[in-house]
Amino acid sequence: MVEIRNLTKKYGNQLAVDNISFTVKKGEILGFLGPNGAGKSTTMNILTGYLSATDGTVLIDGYDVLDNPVLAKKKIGYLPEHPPLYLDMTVREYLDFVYDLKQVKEDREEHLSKICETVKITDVADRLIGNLSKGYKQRVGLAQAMAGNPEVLILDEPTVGLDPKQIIEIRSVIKKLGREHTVILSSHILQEVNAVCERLVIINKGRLVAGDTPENLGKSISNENKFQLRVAGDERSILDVLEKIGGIKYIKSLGRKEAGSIDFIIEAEPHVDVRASIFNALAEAKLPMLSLQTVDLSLEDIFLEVTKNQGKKEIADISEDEIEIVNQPKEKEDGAAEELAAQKEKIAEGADEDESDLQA
Amino acid sequence: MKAIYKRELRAYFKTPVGYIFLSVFIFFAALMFVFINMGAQQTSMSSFFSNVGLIFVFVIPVLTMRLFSEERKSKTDQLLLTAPVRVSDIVFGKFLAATTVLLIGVAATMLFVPIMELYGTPAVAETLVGYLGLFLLGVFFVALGMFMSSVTESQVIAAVSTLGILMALWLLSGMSLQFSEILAGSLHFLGAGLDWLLDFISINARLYDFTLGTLNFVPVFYFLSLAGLFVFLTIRVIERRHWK
Repeated sequence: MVEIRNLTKKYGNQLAVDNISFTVKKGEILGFLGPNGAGKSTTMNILTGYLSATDGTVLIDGYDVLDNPVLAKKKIGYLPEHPPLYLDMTVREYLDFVYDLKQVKEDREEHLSKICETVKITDVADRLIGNLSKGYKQRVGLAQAMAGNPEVLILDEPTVGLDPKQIIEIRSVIKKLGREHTVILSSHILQEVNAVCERLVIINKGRLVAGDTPENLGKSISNENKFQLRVAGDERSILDVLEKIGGIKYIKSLGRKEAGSIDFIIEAEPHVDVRASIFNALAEAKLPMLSLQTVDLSLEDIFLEVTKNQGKKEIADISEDEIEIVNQPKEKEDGAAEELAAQKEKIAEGADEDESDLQA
Repeated sequence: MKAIYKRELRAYFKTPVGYIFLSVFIFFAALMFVFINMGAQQTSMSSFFSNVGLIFVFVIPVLTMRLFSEERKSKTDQLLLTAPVRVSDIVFGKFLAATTVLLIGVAATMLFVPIMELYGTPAVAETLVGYLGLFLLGVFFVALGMFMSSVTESQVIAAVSTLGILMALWLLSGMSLQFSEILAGSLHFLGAGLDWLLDFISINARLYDFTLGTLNFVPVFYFLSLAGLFVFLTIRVIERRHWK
């Protein structure tokens, strides 16, 4: 349905999107994940024809966004990061305008009221958009994207800035839409894409880092066994106790956060539960454990996880810069491998040629 | 194009912009009419048109300043540019909406003709040709203002720069006569060329062609081609932004 090939976008000298390729099948909900500034919005703006790519192609149901903009755009409903709303119009007037703008063929009354019901804005239809709350504005933005029943919905961070109840509502609406539409949804919140999407594509610094189902990505993630621990006592003696416990991969001291205690980050080997042994060992040493909690996985952890699986090095601390460092040697290896493969092919081809020469 | 035209026209009268433009324009036009025609008891509207042209210099920037800069600032351009319409349709829709408001204003001042009928015998056909010239002048100003609005995100910058350019054009046309007189003495060899150049770019001179009551192809073409040029440039600016 949506095919992206070698998409590259440069702003001056800055590379915003670097050679991204992926496809979205009909009826799929694809999560587009990445930290702020990763190039998500740029990519989506290119998909919808708002910006043009420096290089590469985007096909929407076979139509090139650049060569056939009107036909391609007919198939897309787009909710940008900031919903494109005219604040001096009522919801109804606005949707009427969008209906005309997109030259929708369906029955006006029926089509618009159905959309309003789906996103639950029927009761604010006669209010000025400027007076609506952020959550309602977001829904009007979503309604606008749905006008004309486009086959592809592209939603750029649809839940950003909403309260938890609204987030759940919008998510369920998106899930419902996914039954009839192809949806591409961007987010920097892992839980969100996990809850809604069938497949994930992760980008960072304009590059595609990973693409897989949440289950598969989750498998590698669930191996992670990370805790934050707070123990009363002095650092040295606590570390002495902890280091003797088997199954711990690394320990990192976070220093004093509460008087008379030290915080630690502990990562255990995969599939090993070390909580009981930590508790017992500390109790034995009369070092009272004040708290123990699992560390929630952030997007950066996923990145780390994903890049770790691809590369060979492990890094203890988490920061984007270090991810870059891990990536670079890996690329060189890949490059070398590719070169090697190319050489082998050449040799093989050469052999083929020799053979054919002989035959001739 | 129709959807954009309709929305834009509605927006003029949903916000104060349309009312401010029309009331200020009609008020000052009426003032000119009272002083120039009623006060001096003359039925020729020639100098009336020239002065209303000057009012355009001040009020048309208000009419055009928000056309594209507001869309960009409120990010609604993302809706327009990702909808299945061509950029030229968007630009024409907006241009025609602004032109319509202008036409309402110009049409309202045509009431002055029957008023004169009460007291004298104005040359109606000639006056109507003058009105056509005035309207075409306004159309050119609107196109130029729209272009300035497409260049910037700020309505204030769009309005002020439009005002500046229109003012410069207006003054330059006014200078045309004086310049040629000064230059005729000392630099007479340059005089003819410069005179021709100043006359060529003089919007006043073109407007004057209309107020004489003759309908010539040249001044009509002059204003329409200038308007067309700036509509075209607006389309190019918006298409180019797409490539940035």
